[in-house]
Amino acid sequence: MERKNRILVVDDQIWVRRMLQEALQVQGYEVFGASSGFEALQLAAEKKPDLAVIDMAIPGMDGLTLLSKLREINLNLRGIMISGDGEKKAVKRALEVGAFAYLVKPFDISSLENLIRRALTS
Amino acid sequence: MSFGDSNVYEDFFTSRSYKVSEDPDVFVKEGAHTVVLENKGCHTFNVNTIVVKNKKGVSGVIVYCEGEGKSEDNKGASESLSVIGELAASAVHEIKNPLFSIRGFLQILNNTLSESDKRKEYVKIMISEVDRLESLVKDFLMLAKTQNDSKELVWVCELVREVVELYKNSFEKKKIQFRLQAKDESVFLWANKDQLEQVFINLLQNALEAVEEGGSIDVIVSKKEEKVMIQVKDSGRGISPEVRDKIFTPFFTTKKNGTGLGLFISKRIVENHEGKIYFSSDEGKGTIFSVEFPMRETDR
Repeated sequence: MERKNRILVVDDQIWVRRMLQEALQVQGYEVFGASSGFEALQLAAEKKPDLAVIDMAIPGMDGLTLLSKLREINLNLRGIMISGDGEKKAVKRALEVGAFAYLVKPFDISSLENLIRRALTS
Repeated sequence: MSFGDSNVYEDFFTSRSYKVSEDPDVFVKEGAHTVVLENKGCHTFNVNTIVVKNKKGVSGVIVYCEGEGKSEDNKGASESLSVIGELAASAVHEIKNPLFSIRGFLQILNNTLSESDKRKEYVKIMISEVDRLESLVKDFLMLAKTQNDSKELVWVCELVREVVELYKNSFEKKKIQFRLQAKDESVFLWANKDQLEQVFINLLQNALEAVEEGGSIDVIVSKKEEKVMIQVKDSGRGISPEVRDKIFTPFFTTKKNGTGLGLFISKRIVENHEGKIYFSSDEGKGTIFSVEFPMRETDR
């Protein structure tokens, strides 16, 4: 059987994380959740995700540092940054670090699903 | 201003040069220099400079100088205001997350229900009510940000172009004819850029919602006597006479999903910049919103 695409969701807000996990599981992905950068790194080493949805402001290490570290381990990993703040400087920085996209909360779940489909086929 | 190709722009203070391939008419170095005169009661002056050169040499030097005139003594009041602003901004961010998860779970629930299920209707109402709360929260965040009084030199036409870029897709979708008319490109204002941007966003959003498919929106930037004037003109349905005196009142709205804060916030921002905002409207023909700012020595 073909391996399902694996997604890592990193957000310290438990219900935001759970909601994103549930929504993506319904779409047929295998989804893992982490509440901090360190937890995410441990989980990524074990589960080898294809894509990570990362909140910009997570405790311990910020979202962009986490994305850089994840991409050091696996350059093919796609990262989608999410944030309550849509400041142009932050968006620019995220794209420079190699993020595939940047979504400003609150966003429609279908926008995230579309982006993930595009990211995984690109 | 145009000086042909390969312009070099030099920072007057640091002598660093900037080569700009796109060859814009005017180039403004971002940010400001702060000169502190310690023996004069710690006054701070923000100085912006642009030196424009072409192949033949220096074409001109533009120096903008703005004295804040703030001594250490009156810093307290504005600092506590900005603390309130920051607190409000954090509170708004805290509210956004639970709203986001509620909306997401409702969407998941919505997808599991069949069209004939009465519960689907309830879920849809809940989603639209959450959207309304989200818009309110967003506007409150903007209101909190109006406490921020940091200013910089803003190139008005460029700012308008940046905002229009955000609306490009919406304009195309509605087949709207958009024109930016600026007789004089070099219109600058000493202003808070984010707040000014918000005013244009609010005015363009209103114009976009007012016009029918195939309509037109014009933004006119002009400099007259000692004023900078920015007008947003639309060919929309106009504002009916009975609501004209209410449109700047907080929470007053004629839109289905409006918060009634957009124009209230815009007015507040414009007045914080010592400007004026007003409109003229012809029902069925369109509306012109005008924003007027006094020009200071440094803006001319």
